Amino acid sequence: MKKSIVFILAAMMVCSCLFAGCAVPGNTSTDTATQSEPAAPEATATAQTPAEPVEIHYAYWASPMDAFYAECKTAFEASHPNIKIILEPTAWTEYWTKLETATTGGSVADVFHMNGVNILKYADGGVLLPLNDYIGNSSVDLNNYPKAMNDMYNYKGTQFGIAMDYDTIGLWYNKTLFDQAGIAYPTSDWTWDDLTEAAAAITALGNDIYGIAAGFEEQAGFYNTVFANGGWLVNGDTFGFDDPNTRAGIQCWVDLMKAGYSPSEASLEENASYLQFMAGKLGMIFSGDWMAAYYSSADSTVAAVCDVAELPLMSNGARASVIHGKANCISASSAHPDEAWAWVEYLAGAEANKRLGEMGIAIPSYMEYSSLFFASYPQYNMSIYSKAAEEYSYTYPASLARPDWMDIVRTELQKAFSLQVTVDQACDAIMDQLG
Amino acid sequence: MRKKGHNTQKRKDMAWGYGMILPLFLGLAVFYFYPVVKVIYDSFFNVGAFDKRTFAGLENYKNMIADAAMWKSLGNTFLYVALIVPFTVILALILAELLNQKMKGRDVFRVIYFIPTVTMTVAIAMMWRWIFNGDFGILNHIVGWFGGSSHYWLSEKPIALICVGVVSVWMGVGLNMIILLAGIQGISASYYEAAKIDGASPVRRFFSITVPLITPSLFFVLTTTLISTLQIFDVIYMMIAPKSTALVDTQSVVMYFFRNAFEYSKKGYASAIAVLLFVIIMAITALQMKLQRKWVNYD
Repeated sequence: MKKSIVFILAAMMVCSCLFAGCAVPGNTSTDTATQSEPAAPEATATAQTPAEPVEIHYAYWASPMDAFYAECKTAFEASHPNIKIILEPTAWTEYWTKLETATTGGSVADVFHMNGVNILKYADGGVLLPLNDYIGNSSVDLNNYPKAMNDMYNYKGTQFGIAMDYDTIGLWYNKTLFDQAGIAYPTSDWTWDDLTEAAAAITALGNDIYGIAAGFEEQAGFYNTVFANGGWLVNGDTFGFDDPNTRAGIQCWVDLMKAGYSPSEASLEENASYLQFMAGKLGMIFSGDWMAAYYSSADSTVAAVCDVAELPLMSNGARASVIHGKANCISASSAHPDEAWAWVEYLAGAEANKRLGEMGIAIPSYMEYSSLFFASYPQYNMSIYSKAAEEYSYTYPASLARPDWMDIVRTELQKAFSLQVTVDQACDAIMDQLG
Repeated sequence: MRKKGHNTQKRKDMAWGYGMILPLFLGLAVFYFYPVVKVIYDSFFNVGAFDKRTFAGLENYKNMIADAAMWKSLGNTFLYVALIVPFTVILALILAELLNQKMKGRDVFRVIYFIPTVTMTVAIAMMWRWIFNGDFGILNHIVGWFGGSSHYWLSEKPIALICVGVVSVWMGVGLNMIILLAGIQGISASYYEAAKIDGASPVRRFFSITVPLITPSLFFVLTTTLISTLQIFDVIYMMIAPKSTALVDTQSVVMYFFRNAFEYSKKGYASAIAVLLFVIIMAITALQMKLQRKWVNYD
């Protein structure tokens, strides 16, 4: 091998670590450039021949809801012949990276999905179209949606999104394991102590069966018990991990871990808790309503023997469920905001929400149609989810100032859930970094 | 007059030459030189979400020096280097030598060892994740036969990093083996014949003929493996779940850079990390280039 060739190749590889820095946005922007290419001749075509339909690009993360969007597209295009919807699904793991890059590069889809974690960043960044005027001049009435959902997508008095669905948390349980352990099924009067007792009895069955999944979980885990305990997580740029009530809401999970009533944190990370529940290895699990589709599926060995109850009451007699839901937002840089709004309005309307409920994929945010979703699972006590939304729901926490707060909390609390440090030590470490 | 004509011809040739390399040069300029300059430039700014920027001077660099997580990830990276580079190079050399022997099924083995190189990292990571799985993985079964205890291989502190290293070696050996094999085959057979007549054993022939004569290839393999290991990212990204307890103890500098740039929208800070890594890699490579005079034979 020639010396000069070795030198050149090595030199190029040295630089490529910087190159990597721009490689991702570089590649993505070429992606989006090719995506928007067909739109350019389209735009000039529209100017010449108004009959040509306007293309509205709709970006979302791939989920079981994809079938619903496809049906909505068909129905919407039939009633709006001047608009063509281009569906652009992206895998969840890449969705936010791609959306931010496309937004920065000015080639983002006209309408896209938003969640509670990211809405503050996008609203504050001024890249979303304010919807107040559009809502005012349309048939959309925000009172039809849960207040917590409207608040989540309202930033400083401006509405930036309309929720499509919502989800709350319930306690799923495996009746077979409860019967074997000889204990009564969970009820709405259940307390955390009852849950602990049941977990102990089921764990005692042995054979690698555990009472509950008590690993580190946010939405389907300690967020609920922290709120029920009167604790708090985020308020503006301050964090609540010094509050004894917050710590107690975390401690109750770690106690279950310590007692050995749950698979270890490592086990739950390598084999997701819902899979262990579906395999019949867990007595109880906190899960959102969207998990009903998984638990009732053919892959689930517990489909016929599981059910859902309200979350248990904490020692102060209170209970809480986190509420979250995704929303449709319009890009501030959309060339066709009116057509984009027509699509958002359609998705927020009665027809689309009715379809979503009937398809049994998610709870439609239009509250009148929420029960349609529950009717898809008559075998389960699904109405506890709307009760949670109406009576004791807490908005999913988010922070604009510290986009890394969830990672810091996870890193430190996982040590507590792995029983390497105490909850107090973990919370002190969190406050050291976020204080 | 004749001289002038000669010059025109020369200029014509030069124009052709530049014309021919122009497309490649444009590609390099857009996707290579511009990003390099841009990253260095960005490292002096606070670049937030949607490319909002304010001048920060040396703030990013100051924060970086005080950032324990950054140093931890840099430490992890050097652990990867210590683990991956020697094993990859030595294994590749041994395999290349063995697969240069006349034996049955030689081509089949060459293909087998090369397969990981042409397989998608995602597929490899998926497979290894199942092998290492703490509850259902085959590795725990095998360890069990020999009376060993079960582990959550990808979630426990020192083991997870070693597991990632093992997979990286497994993936990297094939390509390096091919390069070394080509180097070995370029050695004239007469050296070996002469050595055989003199009664040198196969091991002696390997160390006294093969190794000295493939030092240029060996140097190339060593340098590129070192650089690519300092930039290790995809195996970790695919094998360690983003919510894993082991993330802090397995993430490399590039992984930490990625999370800052694309998860926390701190692109300016991420750029500073990239510049630091650039300087480190450049220093190490320059050192290697200097040291090669002592052990690489180019003729």
